[in-house]
Amino acid sequence: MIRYTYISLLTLFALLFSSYANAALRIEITGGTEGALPIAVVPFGWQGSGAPPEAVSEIIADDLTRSGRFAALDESQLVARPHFGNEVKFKTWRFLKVENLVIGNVRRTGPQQFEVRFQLFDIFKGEQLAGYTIPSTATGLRRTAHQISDIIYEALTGEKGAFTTRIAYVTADGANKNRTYFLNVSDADGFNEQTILRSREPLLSPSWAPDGRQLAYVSFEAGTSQIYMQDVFRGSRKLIASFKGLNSAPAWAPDGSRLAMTLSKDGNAEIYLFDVATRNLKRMTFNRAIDTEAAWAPDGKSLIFTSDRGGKPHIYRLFVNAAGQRGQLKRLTFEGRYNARASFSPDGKLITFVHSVNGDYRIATQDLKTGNVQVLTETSLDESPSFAPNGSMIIYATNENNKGVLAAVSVDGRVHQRLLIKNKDVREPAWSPFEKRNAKGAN
Amino acid sequence: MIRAIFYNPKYLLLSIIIHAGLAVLLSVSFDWSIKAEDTPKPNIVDAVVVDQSKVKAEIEKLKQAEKKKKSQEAERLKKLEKKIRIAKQKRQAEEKRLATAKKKRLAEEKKRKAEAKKLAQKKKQEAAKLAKIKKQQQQLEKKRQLESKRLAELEKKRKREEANKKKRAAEEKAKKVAAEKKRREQALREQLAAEERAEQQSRYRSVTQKYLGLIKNKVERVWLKPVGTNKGLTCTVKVKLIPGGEVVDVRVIKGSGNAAFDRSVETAVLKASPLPVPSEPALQQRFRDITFEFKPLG
Amino acid sequence: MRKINLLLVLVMPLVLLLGCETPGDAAKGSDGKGGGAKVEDRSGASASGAKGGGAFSGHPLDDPDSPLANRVIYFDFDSSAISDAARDTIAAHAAYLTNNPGASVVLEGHCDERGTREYNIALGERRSNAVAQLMKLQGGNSNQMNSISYGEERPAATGHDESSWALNRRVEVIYKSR
Repeated sequence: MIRYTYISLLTLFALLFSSYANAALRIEITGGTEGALPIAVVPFGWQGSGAPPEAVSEIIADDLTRSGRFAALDESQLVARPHFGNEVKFKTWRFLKVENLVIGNVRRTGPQQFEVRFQLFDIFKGEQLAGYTIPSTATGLRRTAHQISDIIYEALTGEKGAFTTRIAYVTADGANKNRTYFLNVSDADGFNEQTILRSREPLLSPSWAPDGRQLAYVSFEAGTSQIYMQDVFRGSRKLIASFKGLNSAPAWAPDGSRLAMTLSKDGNAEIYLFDVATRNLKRMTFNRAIDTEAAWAPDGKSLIFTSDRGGKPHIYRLFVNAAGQRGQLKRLTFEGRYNARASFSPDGKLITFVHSVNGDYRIATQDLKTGNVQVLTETSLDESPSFAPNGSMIIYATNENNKGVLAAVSVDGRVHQRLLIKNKDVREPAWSPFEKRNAKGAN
Repeated sequence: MIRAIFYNPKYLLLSIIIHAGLAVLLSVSFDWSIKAEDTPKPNIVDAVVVDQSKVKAEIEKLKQAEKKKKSQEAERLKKLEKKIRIAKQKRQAEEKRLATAKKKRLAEEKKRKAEAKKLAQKKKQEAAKLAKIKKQQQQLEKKRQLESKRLAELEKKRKREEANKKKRAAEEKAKKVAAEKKRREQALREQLAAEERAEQQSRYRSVTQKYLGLIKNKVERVWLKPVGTNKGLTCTVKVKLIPGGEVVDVRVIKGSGNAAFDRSVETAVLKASPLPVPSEPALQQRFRDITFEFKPLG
Repeated sequence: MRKINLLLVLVMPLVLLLGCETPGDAAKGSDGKGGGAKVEDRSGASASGAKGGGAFSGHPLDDPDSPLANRVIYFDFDSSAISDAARDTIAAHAAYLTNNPGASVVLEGHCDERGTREYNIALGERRSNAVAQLMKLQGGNSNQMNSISYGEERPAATGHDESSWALNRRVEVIYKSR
């Protein structure tokens, strides 16, 4: 009896499964095009007298395009100009094969007050993905636009946007005796440039403190290299290294308590840790070779630096504990004849550095787990690579038409952009960390 | 060795004796055949199976014994006649003797007659015995005949049965053949039906494959993958269609972990709507639920 | 042979080890070749020019025919090895410093624009240190010399080719006081 029941149950199941298998068709999709997602950013509506102080939608469109992940439609391609949700006709946009739509409105609420409202739609799903109303000011409108870009970017990619961050960089103008150097901080899109230091002598290696409020840098204003620490907002600064020989390559630790730096006071270029509070120095390298360009791992437990102790400059990694005790030291790069100026990705999985194989100096990344090296650029005088705080792009300096320019490349090497082109030489970019939430209204 | 022989003379002697004995034996021949009067008469009455030759031999023997007896009698008679002639001379003297001799002769004749009677009796007995024997023989013969008849009948029976068996076997075979034929016909019919079904299935399958290919192409044409690492990502979505191929529901059942990638997959299916589907009603039902596995090669 | 010459022979390779780098360059300077340096014995501040022309009457540092007029020492790519020709220049300056204890120089190390800025600052210093070392061995007092480095920050030529780069790989001898 039981055997029959068992058999009949089995049969039943078999039938069910077979019928299920018969009903559900399965298709494997292996191909598609890879590219920037087309997004329509419709110029925002405006309620107020005169022209709006900022073209908010343009800033948003530029931000999204610059990230390499999106391709904002040209204004001429916009078939409709809705400003409110109920004006959106999904069918129309579907016909254009546009996947996402941003609409919004700016309204003046006071002499210097504004209200910016925006909505983000998924055209094919026919649903709203995000929508906010943000109060702003005349001078803060750009920043509000960048905030909206961050929200849209995160909604569509799942990653944090870096549009409200800033970059620090050095520009050099004039020739020979008239040469002037500037240390600048600007928005990530190059706007709102502010010079925080100007000098007749070279400036280099700006390094952001983790709170985004201070910059350490190297200045030759005294006729030789020295390291300063300067508050970006207040402009006040402190001289923190002025030893005999070199004082260079400052790098702020992720916890803000100390800086790594290169000093040659003990005979040749070595790496030291400088404690901000106590001003104590702790020597990290003991080698007749050049050891410089230290950078911290995001967890603060190791340093990577350039050393030519092996004959040629290569990247090495030194583990350091909180007390400053040296741990394991190992070489990381083995390909090419020159690897220098390395820095970590925010997730700690990759390093980026300047890499030369046959005379061209290019930007490369190396996966720390697999050791796989990927060369990202094809130009020949690239330097100073620095990751965006969301890890999606690497900003670097290069040479174009005899001028120094800033460029960016996506982490996988697919999207390249020129970021900052001015009439002067631009070099030494450093991307600020994400702003801490407590910095309210600091601008 | 010669010395050894002389040391043990008795062995030499022994061997010589044995060899002599052997030689004697070999030179002398013994008649091992059995003489008639030495062997005991066989008891022919006990035998169940009657051996004709033996009976004949016994009769022969009896006949021969008779013959012998007769010849012996003849000899005796001859001797008697001789005596009579001699006695003639002596008849006078021996009338008495003759008379007594006659008497003797008469007595002897009586004796002879009695003996003849005896013989006749014996003969009779013997004849009776013979007759008995013959009867027995006849009986045996009868028995034998009966037996042979019986055997013949048995044989007949057997043959009949065999014939029956063969008949039955033939019938069975015929039945089987018929059944086989039936089965084969049935199988053939079923096969034809199955082939028909299979053909239909394969037609359905090829139509299905064709449309699956069309759908795949259309989706791949419109799928815009997000810029960045797509390597190794897989996203599986379940899609519901209504007749005509329009997509009414897309659901991610196994995400890739990358939100942008998954969203691009959903959008791709929606952009490709309406999907090309077959118009055949038998197949339409199949194209209501489709599972897509997005697995880009690099 | 003076004791110093012997010392030079022993120490020269060591100095060159400090700066020797690239296999890519053809001329690697005179490693260990040609023994001791020529040391000219100058006395006082008077002119001594062996080269042609008339006598020069002025400060030896301003004499265009004197080796002291050479204020730049050039280097090969990625290297801090000092060439034979440079040795003479350095010897001249060393001698001048020896004879003028009140004189002092700044040795400015430079590099061409290739490679990273900070590494180049260190490489520039290595070059100026190599020159200073050699000068010290030839009589200069260490507190008459100050070695600094500008890396690639102050190029002498702004082109992006070897001819410009060759001019930028240098150490400049700058007299702070005569």
